[in-house]
Amino acid sequence: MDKRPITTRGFDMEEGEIVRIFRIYAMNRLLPLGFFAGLTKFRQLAVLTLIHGCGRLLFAWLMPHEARLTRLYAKLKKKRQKQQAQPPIAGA
Amino acid sequence: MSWQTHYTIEALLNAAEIAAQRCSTLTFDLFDTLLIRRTHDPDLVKPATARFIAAKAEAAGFFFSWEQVQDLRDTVEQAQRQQTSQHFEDHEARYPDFMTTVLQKIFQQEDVSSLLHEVTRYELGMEQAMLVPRAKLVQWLRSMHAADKKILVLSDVYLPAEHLRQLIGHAGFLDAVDGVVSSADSFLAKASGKAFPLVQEQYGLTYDSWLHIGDNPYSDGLRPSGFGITALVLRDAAEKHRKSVEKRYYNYSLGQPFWRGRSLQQLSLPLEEENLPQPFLYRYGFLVLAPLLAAFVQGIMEACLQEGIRRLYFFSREGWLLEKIWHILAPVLYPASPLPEVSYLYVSRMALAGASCAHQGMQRSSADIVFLPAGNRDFRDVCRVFSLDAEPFQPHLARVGLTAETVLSGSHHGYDPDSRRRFNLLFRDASFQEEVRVQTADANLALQRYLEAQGFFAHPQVALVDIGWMGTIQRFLFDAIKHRPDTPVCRGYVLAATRGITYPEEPKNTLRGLLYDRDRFDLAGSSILYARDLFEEACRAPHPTLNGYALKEETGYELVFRTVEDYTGQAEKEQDAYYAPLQVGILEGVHRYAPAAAMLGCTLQDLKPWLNYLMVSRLAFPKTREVMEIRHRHHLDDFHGQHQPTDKHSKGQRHLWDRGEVALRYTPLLRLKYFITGIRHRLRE
Repeated sequence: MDKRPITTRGFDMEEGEIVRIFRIYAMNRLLPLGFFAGLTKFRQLAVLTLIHGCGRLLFAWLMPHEARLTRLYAKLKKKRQKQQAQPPIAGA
Repeated sequence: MSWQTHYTIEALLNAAEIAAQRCSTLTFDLFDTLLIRRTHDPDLVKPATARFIAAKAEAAGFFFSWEQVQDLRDTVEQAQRQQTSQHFEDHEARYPDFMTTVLQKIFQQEDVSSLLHEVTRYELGMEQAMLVPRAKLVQWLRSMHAADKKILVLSDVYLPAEHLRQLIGHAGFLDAVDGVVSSADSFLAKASGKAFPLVQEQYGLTYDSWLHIGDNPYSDGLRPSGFGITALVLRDAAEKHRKSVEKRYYNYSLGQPFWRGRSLQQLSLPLEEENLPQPFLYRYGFLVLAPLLAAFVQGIMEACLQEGIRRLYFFSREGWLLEKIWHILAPVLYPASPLPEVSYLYVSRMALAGASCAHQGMQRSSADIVFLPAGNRDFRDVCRVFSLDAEPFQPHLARVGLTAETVLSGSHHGYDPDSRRRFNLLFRDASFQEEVRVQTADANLALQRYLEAQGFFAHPQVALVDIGWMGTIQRFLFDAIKHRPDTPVCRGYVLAATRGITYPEEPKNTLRGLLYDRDRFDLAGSSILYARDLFEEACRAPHPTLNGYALKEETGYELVFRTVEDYTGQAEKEQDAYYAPLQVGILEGVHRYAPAAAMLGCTLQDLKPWLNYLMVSRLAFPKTREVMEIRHRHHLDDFHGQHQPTDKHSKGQRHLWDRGEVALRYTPLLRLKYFITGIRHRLRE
């Protein structure tokens, strides 16, 4: 009997649970499998698959630039908030 | 002097090893450095404490929602931080101070010391469950301590040093730490840099032979290096990755109920040294069966609190593991709620079947249950199940033109429906029923004495818990005692209620399936029917089944257990040994489930979509390897006789989990075919 850790290197449940969820998600679109309270959205699954699968490399690469990225995110967030707060132009 | 930042624990340890050579003192930050948190947000622990306080307040007659308690805590803590900032540079708070004020306001009394002790113990317990020592760093800390370096832990947190010592002690390296300093005791924190001169003075240190390691570039990098302390900062990419995963599951679970269970499981995953290689059965128990069974037991707790039930019995033998799960969950999930007193009750279908006939005689529905398993064929099987002697019944059978060997089950060759019709006439035959009553009277009396000794009749309402499926044990038990005026209201809770034979529900005797109940259409939940034996064997106690109750002079009753020396007994032992890692995995998984569920405030209803997914993906659409590894080696049951049914019947009874490896691996759409058949059955029901 093979021995393996429960948590994978990508911090998923053993043997890639996210792939299994993807499979059930795809099947559930073809055939009703039961009540899953809306199951999930494709975008969420895609993000989670990416983060489980490539997160290790991605974070190792991005971490040294953490401070600059944080500043960038803050700037983008501020810009977005400003755009949302702007009143619509009259007659536009 | 500037500080160094490292992005992996290995790089940090290499740098620390070099720096430590010229240092005699090493100070470490605690949270996210020596101890990592399972959660992305440390504040997630607070709602669990708020729920605990709200439950304590309710018990004392003060009605506060947990959200109100949490708001009050935040307000009082914030007020203390503002007050501190008037005298100190750091805006620090101290847990015992603000929590005392919170409790005084809620419980409207001055002396809250014992309450504070209880609340603190609970919150620290939750913190402990959510903290994991960072293995490599702790190992290095130990080696430095062994090399006579002074080891200190510094933390900017609202918990005083005494509490931090408890957390470090639980993490297992307090013996390698010479001192613990918390900003909550002095209101001088690392953030302002004031903590470093304090520690220098307190321990008589010199800045140039001092190495500080932490995770915050400001508090653990800029500030200490300003004093000339060698500072190393760990910005661990792997940790950031892990927290990012956990955060996403948590955030998704706020909008999509499906992810609540997955978020809970993410918090339960083993980390660092906990994450050792484990065999398949352990992993399956931890990841699949633990959440299913823990959620089931949590559902029973919710139902008992709702119904005001104060006494609960777990039926042998599956109740053995369920009772263990209860004892793990109760102090964490409902520490301040009036949960029922629980105990384990020795019962079995075989032991209760006979006893159930002593007053009402043998019921037709009870006999129908005997002929459900294909191994039972004739009246001798009825006698075996009901512990009756077949010989005195010969004249009664002869009266309706039957013998003890007449085939009465449709699953066997030679079955004539008219034989069954004639057999059913006996249930209205007074002399037949009298013989049944005579033969079962002693067993019934012994059962009543056993139940009296267990305090069964002392409560107006009791909960009865079993794994499933038709509620036969509860049916027989209630039939055996319902003649007594002090019979309590029996509320039955099973993992899944299949109701193959309609359960005789009445106001005093009810049955409810928590993960699946045939009375409520639930396609995903019905996947549990694919592998019922798996749940039975996974929960089974390591003692033989009960064969019956006998009268005994000294104690009034005696429990008669089945022998373990024969083939069946040996096979059961072998199966129990095979499933041992599965049970260890389940219990370990439940230990992690409890604090995670308490922290997220999940109920059975919240988790149901994820549990449905687990059942569909693992039982209805399992991987071949999973079926081959987990399928029982032996599943033997005395209730199911030894007769061989017809081939046609055997083929019809073959389920997905009974198929061979080749069929499972290579037959196209096999699982889908079984699932569609399942849908047809559910719709017919």
